[in-house]
Amino acid sequence: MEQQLIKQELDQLAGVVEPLNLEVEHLSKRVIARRRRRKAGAVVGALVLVGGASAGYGHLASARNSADAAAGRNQVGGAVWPDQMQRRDLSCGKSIDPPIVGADHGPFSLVITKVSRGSDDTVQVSAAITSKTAVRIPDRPGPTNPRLLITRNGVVVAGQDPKLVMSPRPLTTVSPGHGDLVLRTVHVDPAHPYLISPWLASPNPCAGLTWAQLWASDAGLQAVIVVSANELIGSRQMPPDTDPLFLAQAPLKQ
Amino acid sequence: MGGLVARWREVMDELVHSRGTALKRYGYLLCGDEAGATDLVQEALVRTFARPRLNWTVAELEPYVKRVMLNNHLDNYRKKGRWRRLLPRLAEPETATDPAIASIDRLAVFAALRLLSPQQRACLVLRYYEDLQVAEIADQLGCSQGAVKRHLNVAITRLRVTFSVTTVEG
Repeated sequence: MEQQLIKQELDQLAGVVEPLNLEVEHLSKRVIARRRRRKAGAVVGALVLVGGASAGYGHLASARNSADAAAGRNQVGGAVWPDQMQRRDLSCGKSIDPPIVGADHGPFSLVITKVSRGSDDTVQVSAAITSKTAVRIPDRPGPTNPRLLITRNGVVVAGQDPKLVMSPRPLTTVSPGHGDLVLRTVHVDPAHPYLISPWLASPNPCAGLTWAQLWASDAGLQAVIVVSANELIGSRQMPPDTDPLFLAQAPLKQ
Repeated sequence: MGGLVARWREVMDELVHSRGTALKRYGYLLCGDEAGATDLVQEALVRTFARPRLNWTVAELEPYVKRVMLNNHLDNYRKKGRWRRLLPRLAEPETATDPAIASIDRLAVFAALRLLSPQQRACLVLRYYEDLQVAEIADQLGCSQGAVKRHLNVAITRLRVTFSVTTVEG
């Protein structure tokens, strides 16, 4: 009875409020201005991130003396990886836009092997990169890791911490006696897939959302793994918005 | 790109026109004044739409906007709290009585709510106005369910005093 009284009093108190009077045009201008500031901040953040990633390997970069190294490239097995990696902005609210190569491209396939819901409602995904032929790929594909995202109807609603998950080992090592940079690589062939699960940190819901809210309806909910094709295959494409993505997804069920 | 820009504006327009007053009422219960409620709604809308949300519907956006309003309100109070501690104690500004709160009962409830801490008030509003369960409130406030129950108990006790006084005077 008391609780009904409290509810009634709150309803009546709220009921005296004047209708909201907002100029949507003015609001739109504020939104556009805020988006521009966020974009400017993201560009600065990306530059800092790239600079930080390069600085982490700076002490090794100083040992370079090959022509390729002078050109800012590290070459392994004929493929060329840019030594400054950039990543597409796949933050909350974004959709995963083209270019997307899909789950299969060239010899590679990105495969989700298992999706499960943890006891704390988080999402755990196991995934691997397979190859139809014997190849060597960077160990931990690129300095930027494969990313686990949760999308609803194509829009990111949960994702990994954007900070790099740094390997305890540097991506590059100095070849003894030569001073050249050598990318640390791993052998992949049809019998030996490259398990990328260790690099898939548990995603966090976007601000304002909880796992309970996400799981309340599984309509349109997908676990999505993306891996940069630039980093896996080797490409001269630098701009993050043209970095093609390997993408594999699996529906999330309650 | 022009189509995408028009889409979010349409959604925002629909949200403001269909649910704007409901959002303002929610903000009013949180902060206790209409101007503050309007500010909470405005800032929450700007923050929400500052990130592209191409496929979200009004129904999906409203709880998100309310969550942003709640977080902003609690953050604002914390920031003002630091400021209040730095400044010499000043007389509390006289509260302009809203002419719409004409009845003595509404004034009593209004006054009782002002005695609550922002967290207690938020718990009360989320529980009895938004009809959320304790677990959902704990999620929104980022605290334990035990803390939510304590806030609710304190809030209800203080309101109980108000109602009993009103009853006696009535």
